[in-house]
Amino acid sequence: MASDGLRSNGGLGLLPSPAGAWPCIASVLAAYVLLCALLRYRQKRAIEARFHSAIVANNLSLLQAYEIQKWLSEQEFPATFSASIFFALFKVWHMARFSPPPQPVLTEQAHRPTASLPSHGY
Amino acid sequence: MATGQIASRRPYDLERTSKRAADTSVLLTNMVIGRPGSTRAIEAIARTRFLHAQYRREGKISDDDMLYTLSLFVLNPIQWVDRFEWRRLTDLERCALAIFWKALGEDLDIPYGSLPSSSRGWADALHWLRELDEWSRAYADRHVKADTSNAILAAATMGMVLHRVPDMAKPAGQYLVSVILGPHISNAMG
Repeated sequence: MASDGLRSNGGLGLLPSPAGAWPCIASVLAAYVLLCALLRYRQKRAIEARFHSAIVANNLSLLQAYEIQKWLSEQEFPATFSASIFFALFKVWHMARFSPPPQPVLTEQAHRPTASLPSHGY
Repeated sequence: MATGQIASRRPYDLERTSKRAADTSVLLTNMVIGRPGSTRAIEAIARTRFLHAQYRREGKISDDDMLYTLSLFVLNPIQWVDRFEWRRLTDLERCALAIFWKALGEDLDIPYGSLPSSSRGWADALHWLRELDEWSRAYADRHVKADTSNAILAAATMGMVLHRVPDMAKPAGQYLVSVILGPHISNAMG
């Protein structure tokens, strides 16, 4: 009898039969999607709240912009950002140069670490 | 405008393309992830300037080439998120990306003189972003054209992109990459 029961359940009787598993799988998937949406919208709202005053004043600083950019590329859309940058490089590498040689570019000493914080005024 | 290709007339191969992609990726990652003003970011920016300086001086890379490259780094992620992600970027996020990349462009000594409002200034970062987008599209129309060297380089880069894809799936992979790149680049690749 016991062995019949095991066979009919397709195992130890702890798992639902294949036909009965679909509602379970669907519920887990729906819960996952719901949880993801909830957490991601919460994170988006948190970012907007954090920079609310800068938005209102229309005065986002470079460091604030960097924080948002970093969050987007590392947490919010890491795969899309990474792939899009790679394909941007791909595009650049395949661009034929048809522009005439420009006027000599007066570069500063190239290896001088002059990357000071710019004033990004508009 | 591909620095390594200009510098050398050697045939393009998977190893060189792969190394170049890795080098570029390291510099770019440090510029983007490093906090502005940090040693990490400054060194990556200085190194990038150094690597490009000679070609810019010699006129092999124009200021507009540099600006076009910058425009792709700003605009591509925005376009991809809008196309493929679960939501579009908000104005705040677009503004942040514009401010960050505009500042990075200034650090890399990229002039914005080709943008219409460069002389009188932009109303805000989104204004700069819109002008950059329009200019970048027009520039691609004018300059991204079929060229034999592109086809050779394309083959090497495509090989790198698809090197882990089984042979039987490579044609489908190539088609997918071409679709993602769009008609301009696909045509330019021959």
